[in-house]
Amino acid sequence: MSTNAKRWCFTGVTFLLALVILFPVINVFFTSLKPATEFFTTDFSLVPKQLTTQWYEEILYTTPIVRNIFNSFAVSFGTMLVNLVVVTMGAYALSRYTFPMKQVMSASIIFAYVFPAILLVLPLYMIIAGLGLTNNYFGLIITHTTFTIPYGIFLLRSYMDTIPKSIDESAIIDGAGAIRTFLSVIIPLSAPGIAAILTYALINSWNEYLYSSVIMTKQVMKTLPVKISEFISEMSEIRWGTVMAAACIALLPSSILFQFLQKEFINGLTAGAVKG
Amino acid sequence: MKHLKSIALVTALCVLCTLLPATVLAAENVELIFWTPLTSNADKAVQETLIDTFQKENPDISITVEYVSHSDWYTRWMTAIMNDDCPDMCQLDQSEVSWLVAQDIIAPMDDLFAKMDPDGTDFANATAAVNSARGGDGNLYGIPFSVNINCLWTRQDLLEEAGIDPYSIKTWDDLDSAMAAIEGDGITAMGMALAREQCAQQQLFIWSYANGAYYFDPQTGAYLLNQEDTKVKIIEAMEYIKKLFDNGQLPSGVSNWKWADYRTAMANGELGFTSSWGGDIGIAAEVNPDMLSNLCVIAHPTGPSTTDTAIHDFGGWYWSVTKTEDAAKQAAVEKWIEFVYQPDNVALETTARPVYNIPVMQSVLESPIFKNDPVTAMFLDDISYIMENILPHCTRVGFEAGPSVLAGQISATLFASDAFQAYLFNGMPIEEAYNMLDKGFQDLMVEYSYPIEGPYAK
Amino acid sequence: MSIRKRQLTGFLFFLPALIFFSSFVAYPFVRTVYLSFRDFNWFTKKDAFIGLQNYRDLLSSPQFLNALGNSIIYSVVSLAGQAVLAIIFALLLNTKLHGSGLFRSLFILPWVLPTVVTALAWQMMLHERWGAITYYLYTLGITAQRFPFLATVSTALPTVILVNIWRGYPLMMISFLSALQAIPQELTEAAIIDGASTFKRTIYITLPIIRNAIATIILFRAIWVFNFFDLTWQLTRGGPASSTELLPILIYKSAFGSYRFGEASAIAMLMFMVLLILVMVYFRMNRSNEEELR
Repeated sequence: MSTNAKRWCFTGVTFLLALVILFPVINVFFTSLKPATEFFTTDFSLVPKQLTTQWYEEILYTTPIVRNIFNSFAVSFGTMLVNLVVVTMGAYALSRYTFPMKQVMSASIIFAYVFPAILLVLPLYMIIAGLGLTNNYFGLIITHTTFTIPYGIFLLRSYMDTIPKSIDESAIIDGAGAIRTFLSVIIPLSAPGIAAILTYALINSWNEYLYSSVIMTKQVMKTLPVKISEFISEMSEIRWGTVMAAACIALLPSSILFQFLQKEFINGLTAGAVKG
Repeated sequence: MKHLKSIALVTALCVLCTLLPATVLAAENVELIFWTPLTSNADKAVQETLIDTFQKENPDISITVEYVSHSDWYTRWMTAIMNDDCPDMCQLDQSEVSWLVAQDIIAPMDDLFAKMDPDGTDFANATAAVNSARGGDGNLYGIPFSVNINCLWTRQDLLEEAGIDPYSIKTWDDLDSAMAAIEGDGITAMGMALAREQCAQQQLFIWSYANGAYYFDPQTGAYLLNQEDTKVKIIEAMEYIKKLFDNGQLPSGVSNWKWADYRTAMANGELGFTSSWGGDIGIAAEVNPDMLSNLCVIAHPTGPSTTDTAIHDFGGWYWSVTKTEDAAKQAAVEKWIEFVYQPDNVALETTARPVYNIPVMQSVLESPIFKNDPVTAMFLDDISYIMENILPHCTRVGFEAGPSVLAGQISATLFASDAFQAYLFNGMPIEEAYNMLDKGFQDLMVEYSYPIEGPYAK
Repeated sequence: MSIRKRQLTGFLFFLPALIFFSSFVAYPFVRTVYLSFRDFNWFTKKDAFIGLQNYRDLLSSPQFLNALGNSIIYSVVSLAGQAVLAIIFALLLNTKLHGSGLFRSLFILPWVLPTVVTALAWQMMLHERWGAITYYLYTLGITAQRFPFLATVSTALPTVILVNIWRGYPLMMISFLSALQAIPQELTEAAIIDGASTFKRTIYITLPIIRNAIATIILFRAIWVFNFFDLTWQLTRGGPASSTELLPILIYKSAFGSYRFGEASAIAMLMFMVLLILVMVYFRMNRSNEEELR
């Protein structure tokens, strides 16, 4: 089979797989366009018999969801930035250097991750509240770092380990100091790894519910997952329409951001990076 | 790379902005916050209206409402107490009132209550509800504005077709015949909420009550599950529900059904009976108004071990106020409470969930807003029926003899639901399930220093 | 650079991470260890030292053992499922495809959905009256009636695992994909020149190189899944009849339902010990790899 035909074959298979895997998401999308009468019917139909935009209108006009999306954005972005700094430096240290108590310290970083968030939430909340950082982006960003930094450091470290030490050495020979080596050599070469950990930080922070619900309590500061759960008022009706519409609205910015991230890092920075 | 730098800069600036102090409002303004778990669209609309009106009448007071999802309720309160950041007032039910009283957060409202109803006539129907909000010291810590009572809602039309008068269903045997007569052809006999969180235990208590079993003595508060006759009655009730499930007379997925599930199914015309708090009406009004004329309510039929009118489980909605030293805030809060208990305003509040919310104030029952609400108007007879025949026979587990700290914990923990679910759905033998239930209560009483002979024992 | 200076540089680079840990994690961790030896009830304000009593009670409690068993099954099967899907998709996306960028964005969607939405969406699809999946399975004759997957004791846990696999595979996929793309081009090109088939290339060149990354990814994923609370809680609340009750849910019940912080801390410590074994295995492997690379 010619390579082009092979390519189309793969593409076709991937497309079919995508349809199957994404069925729930497709269902979410179509549900957001169904009127209430079509939710609770035993005669299920994927495509709405009647289209309605009432849920989107309800969300966009009567709820501050744009503000909530912005909040989620700000927190996710902030988490990403903190990760960018702390994780790249930490991974670099673990990958390229030895120092006393290295194993102990790197193990202690994992502790933060091993600790179940459900129990960490209360003492951590006390700390954040004590610092006066409730209803503040920084406060929430700090809690999100507890589950993004450990993973990031270790993953990035193992990527950095695959970069031959000889590259470091040639940079040193060229007269670069530790910082220059770090910024101009290691970071560009670890670009895919960095993209991975930043994506991880971004999306996990975006989705996070537990810390967000206790730290961001003012309506104007709530993040998206918390706001969405508000629509599910269990004591009365199940507001499927509103939740699904909110979900679709929420998918847009995060998908766009993700696309941007992937392009910028993987394509832009790996160009010309892997040479001898 | 250069893109990254500018993005980083912009983000840093944005984040920095959050550290800038917010602009200070005019010094004269008193700001009040209240929490509520009533978060349906109708509820929210009413809150906005009330807040608007109040703020117009009182330009120096600003009110903010926070909608707290019911499943987050206790967590939020916990963090608020830890952080000394409690709201000024809140809407809540009596279990939550007793919880907050135990935490010493809310303030007595006897004076406010006396002002509202000096001769006690307006709240005459509400004695049980009012007493449930009294603390151990006898003070009133919450003022009720509505009650919800779990009754049996039925498909009047189907029963009539089968030649059965709904009000003739007085015992479980009658219920069995009625169910057999109307089930089939797309109709499941009975619907109820048996999900793990709160729902299963509610039904356990409801059907135990209907069989004449008290969990705590209504005079002394003494624990009764270790008595043989109570045990027999409760086991009978559990076996009855299991029989219904095994016979396919309950929906197959009922172990995950919450309140919204049975309400919706009833509104869609898929159920014959529901053991329900009346929320079916509101849902039907929204998604299937034609069903409304088919629904009617009857008292829970009684089980084999009792002939008295069944005891019914009830919940109430209250306002409570947080303790504060700030005189200006106190005055503002009092104004709000007085405002919110004006009969018309209470009528608005309760008709947001028609028939589910039964007003306790006589003045509200007579108010035109209440009587003329389109959905409520269809059910005035049923509401009268409930108030005459059922309201006098209501209580709640843990509150039988008076308020207790246990009540909040019984609804906050899952042991009762677990015992019931294990028996119904996981094949646990009845003796073991009952022991699990018993042990759960006993552990709770030990932990909260609740005397087994009752706090009100002479 | 002298050894001393090198050590200092390394330490300085590591400093931000260390500061983060000591500020925000050390105190909660120490407090949890402390509380696990006490009978502490936030509501009744009881606080007494009881030594190992919490641990003893838990290890002999059928509830705890049930949750432990569920958690282990849940973690192992979720992990395996996620890894399989992730490897397949990562390898697929790594080949020359038309629109691979678009596919990447599509395949990542299950992870981008907030857990709250995922839980509701799947509850919706699995509902025995209104659900898409139950409808199709019934009309295609695969099930005898519309089957309540999440409400039946025997199928609840497998269903929850399935939803978790669906939700969690994208993360592993991204990580694998990045690892694959970090493989130096020359190695792959050399292998092609040598005439190795795609399959052989994958097994003998690709996988060994990213072995370390895979180990890290799997370790962290395992820890995450084991500790994960949100999804299962929102799907079933641990029901029906405790069939989907996992250890994090037990902690939630204990801490936020019963206010028994001591007991909850002890459960967390027991979970920690289970995971510690995993972490130690990982470090053992890593040390031997470090020596290899040198």
